[in-house]
Amino acid sequence: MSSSELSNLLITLTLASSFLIIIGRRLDSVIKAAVVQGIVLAIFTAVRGWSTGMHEMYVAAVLTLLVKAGLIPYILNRVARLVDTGWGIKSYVNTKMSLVICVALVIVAYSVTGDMLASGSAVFARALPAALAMMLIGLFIMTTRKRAITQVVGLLVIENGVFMAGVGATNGMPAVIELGVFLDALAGVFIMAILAFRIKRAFATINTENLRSLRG
Amino acid sequence: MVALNEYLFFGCEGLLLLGGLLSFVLQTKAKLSMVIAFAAASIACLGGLGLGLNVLLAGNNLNLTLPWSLASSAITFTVGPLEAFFITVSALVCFAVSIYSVGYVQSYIGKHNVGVLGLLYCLFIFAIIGLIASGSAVLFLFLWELMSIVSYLLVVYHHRDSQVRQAGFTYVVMTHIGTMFIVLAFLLMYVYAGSFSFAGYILVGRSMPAAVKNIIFLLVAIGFGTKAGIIPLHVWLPKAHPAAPSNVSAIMSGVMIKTAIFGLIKFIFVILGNGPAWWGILLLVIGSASALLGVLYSLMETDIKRFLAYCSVENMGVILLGMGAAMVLARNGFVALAAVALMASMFHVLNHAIFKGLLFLGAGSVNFATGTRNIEKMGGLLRRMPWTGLFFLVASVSIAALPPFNGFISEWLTFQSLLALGASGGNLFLEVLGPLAGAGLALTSALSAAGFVRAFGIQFLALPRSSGAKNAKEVPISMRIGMGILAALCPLLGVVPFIIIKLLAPVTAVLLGVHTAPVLGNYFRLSIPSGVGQHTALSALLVPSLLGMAGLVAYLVVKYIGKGGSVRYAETWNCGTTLTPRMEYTGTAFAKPLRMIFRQIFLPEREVKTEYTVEPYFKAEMSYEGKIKPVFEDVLYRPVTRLFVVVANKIRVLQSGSIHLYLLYMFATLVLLLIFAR
Repeated sequence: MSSSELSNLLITLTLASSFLIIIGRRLDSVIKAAVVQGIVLAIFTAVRGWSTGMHEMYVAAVLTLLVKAGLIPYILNRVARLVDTGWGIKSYVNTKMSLVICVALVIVAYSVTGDMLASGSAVFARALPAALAMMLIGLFIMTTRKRAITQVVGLLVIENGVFMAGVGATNGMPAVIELGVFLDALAGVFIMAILAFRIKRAFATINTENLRSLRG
Repeated sequence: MVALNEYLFFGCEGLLLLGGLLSFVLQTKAKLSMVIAFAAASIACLGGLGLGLNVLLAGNNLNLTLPWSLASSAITFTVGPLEAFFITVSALVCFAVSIYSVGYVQSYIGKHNVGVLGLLYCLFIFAIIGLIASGSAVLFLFLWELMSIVSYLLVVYHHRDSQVRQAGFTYVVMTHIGTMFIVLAFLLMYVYAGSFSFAGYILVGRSMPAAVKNIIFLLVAIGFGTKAGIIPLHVWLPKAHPAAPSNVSAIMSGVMIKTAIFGLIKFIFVILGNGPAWWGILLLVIGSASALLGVLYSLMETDIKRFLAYCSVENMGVILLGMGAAMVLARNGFVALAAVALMASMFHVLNHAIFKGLLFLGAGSVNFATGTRNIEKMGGLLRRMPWTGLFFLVASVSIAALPPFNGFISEWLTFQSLLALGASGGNLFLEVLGPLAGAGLALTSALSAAGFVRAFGIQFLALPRSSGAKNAKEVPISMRIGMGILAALCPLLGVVPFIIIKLLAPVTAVLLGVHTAPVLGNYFRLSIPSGVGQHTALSALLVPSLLGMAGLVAYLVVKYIGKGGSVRYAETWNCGTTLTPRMEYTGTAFAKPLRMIFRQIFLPEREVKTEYTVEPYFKAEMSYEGKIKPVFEDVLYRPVTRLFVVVANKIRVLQSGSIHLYLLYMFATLVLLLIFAR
């Protein structure tokens, strides 16, 4: 298996793990799916580092593993346990409909990126539509899921999409930007964690629907 | 000495910033913070005064470019004669107000945050002086906004009062509407000039297409007109001025609204280089309307500061009259007469700054001593506060344009220029318009005199009408000094107006190319060339001498022919009952005849409720409520605000407050854009 084929496989797996997140019925399975996505993304990064010969990418892979498959899921689990509002997923759209919409989003992503792919490497041609699809799916998760923790998972999927586009499109992003992406995600999660506690204290639930009562 | 100017400018502006910041930092030590802020402000104003006078008298302009930039436009300051004159006026009034404030703000210690007041006060003056001196449109706008926002914060300083917050809201909305028009004018100029510097504007200003010039003129007229408070853009003024602390109202009314006049003069005369006659005629019409309606509305007010605010509307009208006359005259080639008219306008800027500042300080003193602004609750204050009474009287006489005070001189000059406008013509329209505007001004002056008879009489004479007025005490010395400085200037400039005419000579020389000094005579005699080769002259020195002689004659007549009379002290006859303050003439009653005469304008309503014990002779209780219809609010503003509220309510449907819906907006927009707009 050449490195390009391996990359394709990993890209497909990453995108597929997004669907794992969509079909998750319990909070802990959703978080586990996010861990899976983080691990696959880390492997993808490492493979890219190996195939392009850019050794900084290994650092990015390790960071991805630590932050996206380790620290962030840990925080999410902890928050979920501490605020203790049950493990069910609450969504405006049921699972089957979500799957249909997400498939549609993937089609949109592949069709709109077609124009841009004339130039660029083969890996880029695979990575970009998948990355865009992940961003859209992440946004979809944020839009439809009611609880703050699942919305953060949606944010995480968007971040993963951005990261994959970066890793797939370039031969390694500048370290500053990579760190920026990590810090961005981490800061988002921290803020969410703090807010979830505060929302819980104010409303006795972390269902963000209730924030509606705050408007003037 | 150019270096001196730079030192003065930096000293003035730097000290204001420093004083404000120190005052803010030291806010826990209220007294110290207050003293630092106002001491810094008064010293800084002396610097500003020095700068203005130095430029005007020595003729050295200040040109300064700082090594920084603001929105990619260099920070430059230029002070020519026009700028110097307005800086002189601002610094002069602010100096007196700063001294006054030391005493006035003492009553705030412990009740309000004095450190914040000090900071805002210093920033306010900083912005005013800075914007007058600014040499580029971006810098001007920046400081203009700073001035607007800081003055808004000062207006809502007593923010616990809901009326004050409402007044602040009206102010901040109106001022930003005005600023929007100014920004449009600046941007339109930028299209032609290719830069934001005023120097660049001046280069292209005269050669732009006539239609563009007309649009720019209208834009600046509306934009600056809002800040100047001309009718019908005046609605914020009678709300905002009373809401602010009195020392701030004095600066707002005395100085801030003059920056709008400065902007108008700068744009019309310096940048656009005058224009077609209808520009001036428009200003004449607006000026007349503002003057007349302003004074009429002022007469209906019982809140002393609202009264003064409407009176500012009137005076801005008078200033515009002079300006409009100057524009028409300059257009028709009567440059010397135009210089007289423009000078009348700017002389009135100075005079109004002085006496309106003084009046607001006086109103502040009365408020300080009695705790009320309602003139119906005052009375008998002259005996209790003789100094304040004297200063208020001086300012009242000046603003009523009576000789030998300064208001008389500038209004006389305005009259002369309006009459000259009528006589200069050859144009039937102007021949009618000039005297008509003059007649309007005459009516305005007379009504304004009535208004100040009312304001002074009801406040200071007769018996006190409330316990607050009864227990009033004279204000602290620093407040009296602050008022005294301005009060001393009123008769001084009324007797030797040539001081100011000399100062204004370089300004008119720059704006119109005419030196006013030789045109206008000398220290003893002001003479005005009228259209047909004759001269009209006034000896400002002779007027007080004649008045003095007339007084002496009257005294001698009474003393010798009337045998000195005999003075008998006795109770006032009151049909046998005891005399109470309720029997006094009230301010509302005083204005009643005018309310009747002008009822087509005021549309007064009244409601009298009577409860009887035995009808119809024995009344248990009577209540009277009278009000006038706020025509401009009802006809012009209410429909617009209603429309806004309706539209806003429609748009509000989008704002459901649901995070998911907001996310959906973004999501849907993104997907749709990806599909349709790639």
